[in-house]
Amino acid sequence: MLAFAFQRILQAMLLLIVASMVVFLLLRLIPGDPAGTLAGPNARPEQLEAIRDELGLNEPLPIQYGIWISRVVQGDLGTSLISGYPVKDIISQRIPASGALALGGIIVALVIAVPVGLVSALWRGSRLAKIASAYTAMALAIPTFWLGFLLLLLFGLRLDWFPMSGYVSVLEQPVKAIRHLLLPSVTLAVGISAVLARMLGTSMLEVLDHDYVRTARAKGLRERAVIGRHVFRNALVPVVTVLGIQIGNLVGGAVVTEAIFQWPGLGQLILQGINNRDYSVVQGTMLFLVSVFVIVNLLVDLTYGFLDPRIRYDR
Amino acid sequence: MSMPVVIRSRSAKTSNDLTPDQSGSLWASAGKQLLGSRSGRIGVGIVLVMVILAIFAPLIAPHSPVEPHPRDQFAAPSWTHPFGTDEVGRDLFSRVVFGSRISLIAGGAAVLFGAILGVILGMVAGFKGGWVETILTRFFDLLLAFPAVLLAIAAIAVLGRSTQSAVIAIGIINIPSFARVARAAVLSEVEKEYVEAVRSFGASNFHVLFRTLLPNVLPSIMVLASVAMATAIMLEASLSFLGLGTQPPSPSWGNMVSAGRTYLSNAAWYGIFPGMFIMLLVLGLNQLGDGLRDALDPRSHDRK
Repeated sequence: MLAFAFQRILQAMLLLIVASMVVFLLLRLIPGDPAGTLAGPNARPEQLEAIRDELGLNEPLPIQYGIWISRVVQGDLGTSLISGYPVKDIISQRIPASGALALGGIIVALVIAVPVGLVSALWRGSRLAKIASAYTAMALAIPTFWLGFLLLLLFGLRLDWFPMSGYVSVLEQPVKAIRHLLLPSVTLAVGISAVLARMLGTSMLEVLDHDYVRTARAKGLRERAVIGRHVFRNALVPVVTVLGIQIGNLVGGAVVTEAIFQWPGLGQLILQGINNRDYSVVQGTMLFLVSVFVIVNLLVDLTYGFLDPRIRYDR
Repeated sequence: MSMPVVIRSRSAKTSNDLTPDQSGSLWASAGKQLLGSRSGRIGVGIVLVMVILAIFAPLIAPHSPVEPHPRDQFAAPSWTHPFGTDEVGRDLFSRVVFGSRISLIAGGAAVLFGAILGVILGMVAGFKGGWVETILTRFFDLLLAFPAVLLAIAAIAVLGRSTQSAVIAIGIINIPSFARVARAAVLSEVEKEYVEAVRSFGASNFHVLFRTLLPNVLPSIMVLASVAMATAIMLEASLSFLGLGTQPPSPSWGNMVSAGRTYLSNAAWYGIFPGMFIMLLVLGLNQLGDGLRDALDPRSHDRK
């Protein structure tokens, strides 16, 4: 396990380094002078010169990267062109809203995926299973932004059950916060729920075929116990990995979902950054999101290795 | 087992002793099987309707998709405007019909871009082995490791916002999945006797790769292509929704839903129809992919 963990941590670090290089290059690839890009169109020549000095823009690229990454490691992501605040502070301001949405999305996705997956595996061929498979096909095809639009139209505008937009902190007003969070969470969750349900369904079917399930039945265990204790638990293992991979979709879906519900999260921050040409914000937010993604995936992999000893020896 | 026979005659094509209709037999039987399955029929039907809409858009659309008619602003759906009109009085039905062109062309171009580069790189990786394979597969794993939407947004930050940028960004995102499939297919084919036979004739690496192996790798690529096209169309629509892809006044389904969100309280119907078409097209392509997989999978031929 230790060797496996060590290897995965090393891989994740390598991935982070490459990601940071990509994010670093992003700013240099944007047409024009990076100092001008950062300082905006109205910068005075001496301002540009100061930025050039600070970022070492007169040095070769590897040294520029070295200067940049040593600051990033110390938590210095630069300052926003528009607001003048440190990018680090702007990002940490947005984390609660994005975190709440991501958590809400995962919970709703699991709440939908588990019954749908179970139904499609346990009652194969039944009418209910057909409904389940129709759900997954539709859920995979529906655009996140359109689903959000429809939910907003129906439950926000027509029925007026839920607020149309905005974020309220769970810590301050829990009930109101959940009302605000529900529609965005469902919007984010539907696509992911379909992927998880499919995975759970196929993995249940696979597990049901195993000898130990037959043994469990043969020794007179009740069907409930067989499914609950032996099948479901083992079938969950691959679902955990898929959940890890789906974190990428979660990040992407969140950018879109935040746009529909005007949710003040990190996705909106990137979009605003691009619209305002506020590239230090774009760069910092992107680096932050990719880092979270890599770290979450690492944790998922480690959990997976912990749950299923075979994985550790496999690689 | 009809597969190996077909394959051998395919590679024998180079020595010119093959009647052309024989080489199509796998595809012909696959086509028959595709239309025999429910998902295949649904997929082919939907995709065909969309392609017809796109090709004959000027004949089908009753109005111009871009010309404003300020007096008809926000008209509700009616016989003259089946999907209603938008904020400058343009007929939404006509815009949705023309929107099929943007979705299909952008999705198709992005997949073609990703498939060509991915298949070449993947086949070379699988064929060459050694350090070439190691570097290439590591690179694909890396690309696959990043969230697609973030990659696309990063690419668009550099390339600027337009349909072309979106196509390039989505194309790049598509490279690794095609490369993986192509590499896996080459690895499973390259050891087979027919490849050895072609080699024994003194065929060049290029010949073995693209004349002998490619036709046998193609079925798995086709299955991936239809699913990848669904994802590409979804991604292009999402980027356009975010204002990063196709720019107004071009009628892209994604930016129409975005405008529909803006004018939600003026015109509830605005965003409904374009979104419905995206979903239909994506559903159709996914079903087509499912049908193709069943039809082109050699194991399903054996079962018959």
